[in-house]
Amino acid sequence: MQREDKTGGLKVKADKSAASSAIFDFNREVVIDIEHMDLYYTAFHAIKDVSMKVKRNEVTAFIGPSGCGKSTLIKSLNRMNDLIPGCRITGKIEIGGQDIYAPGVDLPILRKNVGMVFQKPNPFPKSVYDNVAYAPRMFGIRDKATLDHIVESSLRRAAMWDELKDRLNKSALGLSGGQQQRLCIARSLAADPSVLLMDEPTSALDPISTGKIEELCDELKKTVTVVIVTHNMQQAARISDKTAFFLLGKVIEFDETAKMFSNPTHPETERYISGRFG
Amino acid sequence: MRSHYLQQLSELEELIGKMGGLIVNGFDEVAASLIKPNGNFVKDAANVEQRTDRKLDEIERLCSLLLLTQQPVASDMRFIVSVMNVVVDMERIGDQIRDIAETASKCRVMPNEKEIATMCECCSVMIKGAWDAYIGRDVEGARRVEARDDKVDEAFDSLKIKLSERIRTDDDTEDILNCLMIGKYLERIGDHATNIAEWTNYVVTGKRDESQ
Repeated sequence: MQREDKTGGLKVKADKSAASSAIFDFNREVVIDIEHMDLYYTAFHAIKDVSMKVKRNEVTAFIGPSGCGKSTLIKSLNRMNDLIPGCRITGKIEIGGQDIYAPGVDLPILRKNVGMVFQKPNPFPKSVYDNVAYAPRMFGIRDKATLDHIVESSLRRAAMWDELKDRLNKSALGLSGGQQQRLCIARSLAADPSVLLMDEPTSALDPISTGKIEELCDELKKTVTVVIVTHNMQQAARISDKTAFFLLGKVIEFDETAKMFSNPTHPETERYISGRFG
Repeated sequence: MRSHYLQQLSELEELIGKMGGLIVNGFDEVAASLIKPNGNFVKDAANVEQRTDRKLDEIERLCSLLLLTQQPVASDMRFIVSVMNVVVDMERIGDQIRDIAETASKCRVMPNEKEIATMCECCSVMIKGAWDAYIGRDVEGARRVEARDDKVDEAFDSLKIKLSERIRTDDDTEDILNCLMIGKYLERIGDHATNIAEWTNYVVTGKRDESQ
């Protein structure tokens, strides 16, 4: 069953027969609720007893030195880690009120609601239009006018309609790196996610493209809850409402970004963000 | 690990220490000259003011460079923000040291009101106290400085009453007005020392005073 919402993206409700438990409620205040989560890669204990509540329409930044578990955690939020052999998770992750690791959760529906953008832009080797229309088509939309509307509104939400409206049938691979990354964001938005995960989305981009994506985050949070992993401390300070500092698989501090960067509670946070280690 | 950055922060601490030394000593000298003026006290005070101004420039340049190149955060950011404010108060104290000396040099008889002596004594303790508290990140010390400012204000109020009486009876109006001006400069020095103390709170706690 599908319907289109006012943002133009695709709205899909889980088919009851396919995934009876996957009815997400994104109107609640806490959209992501992680409780006592541990993650192991075979014997390696990568995430240790993490608990965290992410609120609706906020941008939350994950920071910390390499190998601290921040990317592992963000990938757990739409079950990308399922693909890694030996990965085992205990504890609970609820998104939109749903335990996403409960039996019967439909992964395409989860990933439609919890979109993801990666470090390296990864558009499909297709046209701009086909990239953005990919998810709606996957969920069964065939009507050209509906697809056109979703593509336009998604590109507008990613602030690139004006740049690309005359190049919709050109290959996405011909775009610049920054445009490709924003196209990937538009492609995620076309599925009308309620949560957008971004794993170092600007680390391969020039400052102007980075600035555009940062501004986009500010705009996106009006309709989407954003979680972003970044190694750029100033970026976390600029764009996020809350910041979580990870170290050796643990959340050392999770607080308002302004507080974290002006007066952190934990000495380890202070040492990391001020460049004393890491 | 950011060794150049840490070195720049140490330089800043050192510069601010030197500027503090200038005003602590400069004030004590001008206060002593009100009791027993030496021949050079106006020149010495002008020298303090000029050296304070130069230190202000140097410190502001280093702060700007640190903000531009290092994007300091957390306690480093609080320290640099506080320095940029504290140096303005210090520079003003330097100006007032010069103003006191210049005004005193115009007096036919040096002001000998006990209120001036009280204010000089309090301000000396306050400048030193504010300085020690700021450099030593001592919130308790800062609180003692803030409390002492009331004494300076009381002495100034008392001085105004006394001088308004004298102006009715004495002929030496110019000396009376000069004495009033010196009192006002001292009262302002007390306020600047209090500001420096308040910035100590900010460096340590992130709040300038407890009500925030």
